[in-house]
Amino acid sequence: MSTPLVVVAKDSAEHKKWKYAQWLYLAGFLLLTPLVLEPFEIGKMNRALVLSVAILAVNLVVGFNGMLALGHSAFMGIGAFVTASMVQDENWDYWQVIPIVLIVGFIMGVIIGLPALRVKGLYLALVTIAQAAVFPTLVNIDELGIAARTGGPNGKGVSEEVIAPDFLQWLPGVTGARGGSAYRYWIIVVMIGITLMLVTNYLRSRPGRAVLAIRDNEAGAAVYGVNLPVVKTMNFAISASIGSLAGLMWCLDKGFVAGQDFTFLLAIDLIIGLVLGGVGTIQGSIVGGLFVVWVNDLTKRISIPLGLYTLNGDGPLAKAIFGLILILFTFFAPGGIVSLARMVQAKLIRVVPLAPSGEPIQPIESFDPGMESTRADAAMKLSIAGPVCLAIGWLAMNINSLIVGVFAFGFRMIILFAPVAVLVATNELKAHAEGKRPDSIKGPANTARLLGLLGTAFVIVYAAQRFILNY
Amino acid sequence: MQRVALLEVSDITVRFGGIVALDDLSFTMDEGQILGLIGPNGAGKTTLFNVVSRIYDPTQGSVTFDGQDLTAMSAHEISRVGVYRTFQNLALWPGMTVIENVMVGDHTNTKSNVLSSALRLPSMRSEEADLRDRAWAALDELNLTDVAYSPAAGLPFGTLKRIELARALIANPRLIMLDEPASGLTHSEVDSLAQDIKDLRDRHNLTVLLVEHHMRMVLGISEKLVVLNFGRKIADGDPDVVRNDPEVIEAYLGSS
Ligand SMILES: Nc1ncnc2c1ncn2[C@@H]1O[C@H](COP(=O)(O)OP(=O)(O)OP(=O)(O)O)[C@@H](O)[C@H]1O
Ligand SMILES: [Mg+2]
Repeated sequence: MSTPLVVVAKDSAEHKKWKYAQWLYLAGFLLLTPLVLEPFEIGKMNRALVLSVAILAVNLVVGFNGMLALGHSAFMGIGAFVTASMVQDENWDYWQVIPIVLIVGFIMGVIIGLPALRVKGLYLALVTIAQAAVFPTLVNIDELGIAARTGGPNGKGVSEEVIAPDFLQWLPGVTGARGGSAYRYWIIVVMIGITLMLVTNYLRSRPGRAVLAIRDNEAGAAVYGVNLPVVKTMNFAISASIGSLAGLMWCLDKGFVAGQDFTFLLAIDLIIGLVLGGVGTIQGSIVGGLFVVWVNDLTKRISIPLGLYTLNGDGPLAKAIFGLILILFTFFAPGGIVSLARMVQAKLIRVVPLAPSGEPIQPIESFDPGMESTRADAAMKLSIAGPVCLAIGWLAMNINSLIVGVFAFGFRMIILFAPVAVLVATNELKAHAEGKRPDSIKGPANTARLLGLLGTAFVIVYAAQRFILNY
Repeated sequence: MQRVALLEVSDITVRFGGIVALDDLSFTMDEGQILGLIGPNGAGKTTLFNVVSRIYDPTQGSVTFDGQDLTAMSAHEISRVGVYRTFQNLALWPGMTVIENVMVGDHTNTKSNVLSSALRLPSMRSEEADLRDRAWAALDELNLTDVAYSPAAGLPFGTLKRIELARALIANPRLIMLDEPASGLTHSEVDSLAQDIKDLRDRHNLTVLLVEHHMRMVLGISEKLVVLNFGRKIADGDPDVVRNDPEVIEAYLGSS
């Protein structure tokens, strides 16, 4: 087994550098999205992010607790209708509805979870499928004033416009043509950020570990003091609460909700996103939402001429093409997209945890490959791959084909690894100065450093230029 | 003077359909004792563990621990009185790291809830840091710190068995029930495990109920022996006496 290119102790200065770089990329991505996308594409992005939150909710139950619950479209619907009704009928502000939606979702979760979680496996799946199937018809019931609140079969529109107030006009994208959708994008991003933080904290501590323990071995969990029904129901209710929040975000984004929006088809989309993103990973939820929406969108635009017949993604075969992509994915990335990303990450960096003494559990030096190090060569290859892929990508973008275009776009992203090449090359040169590397590494390391710096500079300049041009 | 028993198993019968897994079993254990529970395959040893840890309901009989009726409790409450166990075929949580497995071991005596965890309140942070340190110490005691941050999946069986022991130790158990802790170990490892169990008993004031097929180990460290055969107790008492009991010899020779 070859060691990764970078080995750092947890919380060491170098580890922090790595984390800052990741945050920088994330910030760059978030800032540029509402600026470079077309207004309708921002709408798609918003929908994808809303789905991500719902997928996170499903993940809490299915991925982290091992309970096959498939009916979260109903919780989304509940959140969406409560929001629509409170904002439209009662003139509340959206943010005032947030606690209401969370509480209603939680209570619904307890009501459904208490009996449903007593049954397991396929039975639970069946009960929750019923929940998803029945929801769209429930909103049409005339009794108890339900239909009046939900708009019945016509759906319910919210006339309040969500546009940026004056003091938020500085947010990227919110003025001009993108206006409303870019502003809603920012609201959604902030809500997701807070949700992710709270959910991550929850899962990485005592109550979250109990949830995982139930998934991995119920008898073991019980013997070690985990109250199974209480923890399951609590987790299910939290999940329902987050699902309802996704419903609120849906309403906020679209300004219109209808029973047909929350059918079992939506529940299936959530499961697809969950599996493609990565079951039982937090990042997988986010990636899954983006994937479901964008891949669905791309397949619709596909058009491949096959002699007499044109394979048209917008025609009757739309779902078949999407299905094919799903099948390919389950074959080549059964752990979801996150598992692929983790494989790449494992080749790049290893973070060594700390013992209570504050020392890394294994000395960092023990990972040093010594005189046989191939890290400089790897860094050089990485630094060359960036610009080469960029050039290929640029050329390929001119070919008028959607599929080539998508791959070309992905290709160009390799340049984002330029800072890694710089970091590795610098480390290698340092090791050389300490006499731990042969002279032969100097050439590749210097090349890697130079090209890597150029690549990094290019990424920064390119991003800044896009930002300034569009701002 | 008559000592009060810590664990008292009285008239326990367990039936699965037509099978009588335990047949009117009674015995007692004193505080601080290492009691060896032996018997051929299928004698009902694991079934007794499952009754004490409330995974199975006995058809009849009761189990008292320190004056409390365990049969009136549910599985997750047993740890509150200090009764812990390991599993013959492991019940670890492979989706977590080894140290996290051990941290869940003290679920009962820790308090952080959903709210304090989601918000990372100071109370939760200090509890978490302390728990992690204690989990590390428990792993250290069993020479497992090398694998502390590895996933609990994919380690050798013998290592996983020791992780189960560490998971039980972190909670400061009063009674610990070990279900074949030596399985998957080499001869020399078995010897050092026997010494470890004695040391742990002394250091942590444990009472140990030991199920093990490894005769040399059981006879070496047990202070009392209970022998089961087809769910019935056939002998009970001082190991040196019990091992020479004709019925015990017969049960072992007859079954092997
Ligand atoms: N859940 C169950 N359902 C039906 N029968 C069971 C169950 N659990 C145990 N038994 C039966 O009860 C008897 C005792 O089993 P037990 O596992 O307690 O034996 P053991 O003494 O632990 O054996 P070993 O040394 O092989 O672990 C066996 O005949 C077994 O088949
Ligand atoms: Mg057994």
